[in-house]
Amino acid sequence: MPEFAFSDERLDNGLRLILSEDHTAPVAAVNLWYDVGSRHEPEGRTGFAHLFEHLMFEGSRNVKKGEHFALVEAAGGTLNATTWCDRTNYFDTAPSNHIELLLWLEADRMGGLLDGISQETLDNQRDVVKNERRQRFDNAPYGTWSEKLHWTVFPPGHPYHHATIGSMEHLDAASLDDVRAFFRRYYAPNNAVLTIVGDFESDQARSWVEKYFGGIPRNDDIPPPPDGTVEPVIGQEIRETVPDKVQLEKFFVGYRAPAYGTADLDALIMAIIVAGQGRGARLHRSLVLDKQLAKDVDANPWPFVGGASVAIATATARKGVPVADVEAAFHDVMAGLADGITDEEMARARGMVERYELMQLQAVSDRADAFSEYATLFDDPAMVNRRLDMLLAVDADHVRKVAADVFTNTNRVVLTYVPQEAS
Amino acid sequence: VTLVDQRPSSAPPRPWKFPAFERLRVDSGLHLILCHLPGRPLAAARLVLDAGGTTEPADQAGVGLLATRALPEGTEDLDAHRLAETMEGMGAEIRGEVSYDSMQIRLDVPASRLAAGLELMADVARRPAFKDVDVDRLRKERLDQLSQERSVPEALASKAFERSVFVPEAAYARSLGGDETSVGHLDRDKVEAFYRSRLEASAATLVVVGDLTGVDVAGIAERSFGAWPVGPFDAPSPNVDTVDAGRRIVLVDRPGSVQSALAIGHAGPSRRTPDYVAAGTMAMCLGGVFGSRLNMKLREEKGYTYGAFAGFDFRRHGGTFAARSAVQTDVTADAIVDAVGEIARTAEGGIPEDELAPVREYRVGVFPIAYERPAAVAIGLADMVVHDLPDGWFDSVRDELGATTSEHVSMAAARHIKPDSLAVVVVGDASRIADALAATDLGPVEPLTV
Repeated sequence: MPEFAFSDERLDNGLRLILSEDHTAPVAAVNLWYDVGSRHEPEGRTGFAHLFEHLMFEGSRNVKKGEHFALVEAAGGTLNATTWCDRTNYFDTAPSNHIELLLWLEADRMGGLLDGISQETLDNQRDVVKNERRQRFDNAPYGTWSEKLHWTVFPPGHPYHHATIGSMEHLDAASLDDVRAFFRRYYAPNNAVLTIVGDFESDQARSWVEKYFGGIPRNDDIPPPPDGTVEPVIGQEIRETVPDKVQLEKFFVGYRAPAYGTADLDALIMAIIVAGQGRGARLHRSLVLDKQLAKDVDANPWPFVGGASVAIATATARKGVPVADVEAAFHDVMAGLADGITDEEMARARGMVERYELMQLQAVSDRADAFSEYATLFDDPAMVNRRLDMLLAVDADHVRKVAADVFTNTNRVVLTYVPQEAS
Repeated sequence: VTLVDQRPSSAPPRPWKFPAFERLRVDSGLHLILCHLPGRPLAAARLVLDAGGTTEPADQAGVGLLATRALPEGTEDLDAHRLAETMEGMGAEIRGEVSYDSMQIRLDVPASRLAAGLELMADVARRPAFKDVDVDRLRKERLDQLSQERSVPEALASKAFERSVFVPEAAYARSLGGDETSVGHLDRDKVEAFYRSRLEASAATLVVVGDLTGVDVAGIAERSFGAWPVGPFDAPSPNVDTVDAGRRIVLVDRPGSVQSALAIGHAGPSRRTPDYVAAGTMAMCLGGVFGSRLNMKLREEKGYTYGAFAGFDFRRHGGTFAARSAVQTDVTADAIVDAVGEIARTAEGGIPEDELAPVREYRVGVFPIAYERPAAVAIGLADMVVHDLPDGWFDSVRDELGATTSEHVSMAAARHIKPDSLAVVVVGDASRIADALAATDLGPVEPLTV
């Protein structure tokens, strides 16, 4: 893998700036991670960090409603933002002659958002977000599974006990005062990482960043992240049967898992690949190919930094196959990981992780997001050049041990979706 | 807080051209398109076959999709397990894709193992096992998937839309991938017969993009990819007749829905339409960028939806025009009236220069971003093969986009958008929306079960 050179510095106001030149194509990515996500939301305001992210596109001191999108698109650029439990990221990619415009736009909303918001834009985006919730959760088959895993894998009061999308009731309760308080608390230069990757000269980029972001004051009162300390395992099996508008029975299993940034989570990621990713994975071979019980299987990590992560696995029962049979076979496979992982399985998992990590660094926008992630979560942007090696270095015995600790019958939530008529 | 009030102006862009590529044909008959992108850590390849959905026998819709799913299940030499272990162990992914216009077998692999990846891809494409037990299992999984899609509002809307726009005998009325009836009758022999017949019917092209240093693609193509016929990539024209009906609302009941999925449109022009660029640009103004008419009206003004879109699906023998959204149940009729209003306003009044300019600039400017990854370049080159575009197309189309005027897009709107022929497909809770739909003056409400 190529080594990606970069610089790492801070403005006087605390804004962390990462620059990585790549002159392969005349494009550049501007990427901002704010160290705030749904785990930081105040009591009774689930969904607020994400609603706030929407408002960041609705105008600021010198940018009218809708103009942020319009200006970047008219520059031939692409843009978006996402909110997750640990962070909120904003990203623009454009032909490299427009970097200065992108920086001006990002600075205007980092410093001047409150000059652009109004009750009208809040009400409008509240409706949009409620429709996002309807489309992706409430009206979609199996759509509520992720929210239900948050509720059950983490105890009440835990920062990950609720999903990023939040509840309709809390979205309704959000006020302009909440917007102002959230902005003043978290949207400060010293709570952000700005990464620029692509076709530019670093000295020029530094002077633009100083010019546009330098006048935004730091906030010395950013609260520490919420305490996510939690038992490493759930301590019981939690089960729920969910009648839904579905044709096929399907279950989702969530396990409490080690925090992101630990060697144990890296080993668990490899265990998840061995068990549940790709055609050569144990679950696919057993449940789909050999026993023909499941139509499909999948497994994924939710890597969280604040206390514990989640490991997720899911299987859809073939029509006519009792979902309990699928689940029993599933638990057999997961328990079997504790007996050891073969060299062939590790080789397969390493091949998959190599392609996956190369994809994460492929385009300037991918790489910019990776630099911001590792700087924000681990104060270590150089992980961009080490992450693949960290995962490749995991050995089979560590995978076996972590799988034995995590995939147990006293550390899991099982959500079983069944057709409504059958309930 | 001190901010710079003055928005900066941008310097001219650094020049960009679509990556250079080379065409060859090896002695075994296979066409090659090679695009060398030094230093890229990932490489991509596509084998383009004339085996799209329109070439399937009418009673075997979905046979192509089933074939693509069976290909990576094993070859003459490697069973499913060994093939998966080999493929995934080298960091490769090989899978088939089907559109109405082509079948493509794609490879994504770290550049360091491109040669081995191409050898494996050849094995998958030319020596598939098509075992009875595998094809039968995949057929059942596909039937389960079709059953599952009956719960997905957007999938129901697409199915109802196809049936509302094209006559039942038309190739485009058959859902890509087939339905329960057609898939139910498929078996291993039909899958193999279809796949073999398409391999024998016409020329094929292998597109390879990435760091080709030290990789003898022509040698691998000659040795491993088998022999290919000389015939052109040109299957007979299928039936693409459209339903001749006025504007109507097609209502698919999905009780308990908290949103209604919409697909509003009619048949559209083929990829060969001379005003392809103007029509596509017009559709983006209507529903292809964040600031489009539909998204601004339904999302940013009314808050009815998370997003609203519109576009053409340009295929070789015809196509569709459709606006799509998912709107809150209570406002379904209002949202449809607004959407049809924006569509009609565009057809009748066109797009003025001030609205066109940002979309034109977006389309011209986004090329170097759109083609940054080797896999995206491979998709573009495969598209060039499928639609028989000239070699200089990617650069000439950019010039054409840059020269597009309000008059061009307004003429395309008048020609290709027919507000009086819209099929307004709604998938939602009929008990809560049917009365309001009937009260609009958009046309009769016709219930449909799909």
